[in-house]
Amino acid sequence: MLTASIVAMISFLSQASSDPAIWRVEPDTCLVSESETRCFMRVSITLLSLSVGKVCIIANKQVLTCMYEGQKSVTVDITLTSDTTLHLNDTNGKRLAEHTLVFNKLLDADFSQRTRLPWSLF
Amino acid sequence: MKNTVNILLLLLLVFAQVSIVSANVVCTRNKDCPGDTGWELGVAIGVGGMTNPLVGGDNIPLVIIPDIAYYGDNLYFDNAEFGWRTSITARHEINLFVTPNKEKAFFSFWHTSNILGPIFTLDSPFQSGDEMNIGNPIIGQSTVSIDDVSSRKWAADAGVRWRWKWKNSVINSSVYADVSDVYKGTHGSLSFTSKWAFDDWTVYTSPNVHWYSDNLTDYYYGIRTLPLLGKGLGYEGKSGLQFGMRVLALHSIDDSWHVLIRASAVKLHSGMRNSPLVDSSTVLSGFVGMAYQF
Repeated sequence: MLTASIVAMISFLSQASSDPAIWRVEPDTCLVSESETRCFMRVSITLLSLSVGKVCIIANKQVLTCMYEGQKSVTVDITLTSDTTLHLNDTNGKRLAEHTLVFNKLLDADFSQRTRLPWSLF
Repeated sequence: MKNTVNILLLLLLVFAQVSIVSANVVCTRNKDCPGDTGWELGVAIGVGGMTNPLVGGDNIPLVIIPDIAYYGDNLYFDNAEFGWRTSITARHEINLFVTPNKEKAFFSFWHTSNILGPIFTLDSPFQSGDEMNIGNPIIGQSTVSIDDVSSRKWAADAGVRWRWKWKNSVINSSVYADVSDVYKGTHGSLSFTSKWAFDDWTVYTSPNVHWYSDNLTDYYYGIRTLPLLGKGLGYEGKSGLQFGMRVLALHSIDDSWHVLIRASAVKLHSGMRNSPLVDSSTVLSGFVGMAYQF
C-alpha cells in the first residue's frame, strides 16, 4: 500500500514536471540586471506530438524559422525587450500553439532558488 | 601566516569570479527559475566516496545520492535542512533553519581499535562496527571507560543564514548552534557560490571557509578519558578556521537524466589535525554518476 502510494506520487510528480503540450520551449525566461533593457537567449524548440507538414514559429508578427515535416527540433536566437509570445502556425496561418517568453529583471527574481547546493545531502 | 595566505587566496578567487560572471540568466519556468516553488526530487547512482581523516577510518562510499527539496513561499526543506526564509530586500535573504550536524559521519565509519590498538592492548577484542558499546575493556590491569573516545553522538544544529544574491552568485554566511545538547558549541561558515551555464552543462563552484568552536572540536576530536592513564595522553580540541572548495557539474542529457560530477576538498583546521584521532589533514570527496530528476 505504501509502495503503491509512493509510486503513484512519483508518477504524478514526473507527469507534472513534463510539458503535455504539442511543443516544448526551453528555456523560456530571460533575466537581466537592472541596468539592461535587452536580453539575448537561445531557445530550443521541440515538437512533441505534431503530424502536420510544414510549421512556422512566429514572434511579433515575424517568422523566426520554419520546420519541415519530419523535423523535430530547432534552435532560435532571440533578443527580448519585453515578454514575447511565440506562435506555432501551420502553412494556412492556423495557430497550433503558443508559448510566452518572459523578460524579467534579476532584481525581481535573483539567482538561486535553493538555499543549499543541490545534490549536497552527503 | 598560513591562514593569512589562505584568506588572501580565497578573496582573490572570490573577486576573480565576481568579475567574470554572466549578466544574463536564462531558465525554464516551473523548472529551474528563481522564485519557483514546489518539489525537486532526484536520485543519482554512481561511484564515489569521501576520505575519512580518522586514524584507520574507512572511507565513506558514495553510491546513491538523493536530492530532496521542497520550497514554499517561506518554508523549505532541502536535503535534511528544514527552514524558513524571508527576503529583506531583493538581494538579501535571511534563513532560519535546523539541520543535522554531519561531523559524526566520520565516526560511523571508524573503529575505536584503530586509535586504541597501537596504544593499548585490549583483553577482549571487539569487532568492526562495534565501537558504540564497547563497555569497559581491560587495559593492562586498569579498567577504563573509553566511551568518550569511542562514541560520538549525532547532533542537531539550529542556525541563521544571511544570503546576498548578486547576478549568478550568492554569498552565504551561516552561524550554527547545537540545540541537541551534544557538543554544546557553535560553528559558522562563509561561502561564495556561483552558477555557470555552458550549453548543456551547469556548473556550481563554491569556495568556502568554516569556523569550528572549541566545544565542537573538542567533543568530536578531543580525548578526555585517557588522562586516567597518565598525563599527556589526552587531547583538548581547539577552535579553528578551515578552507574548502566544492564543485558540482550537471550535464543534461534530457529533461530528466543528467550526468552528475561532484568534487570537494577541505583542509582540516589545526584543532582537528593535531588530534591523535586524526591522521589526515584533508578530506576529499568525489562522485560521478547518472542522476534522474522526477
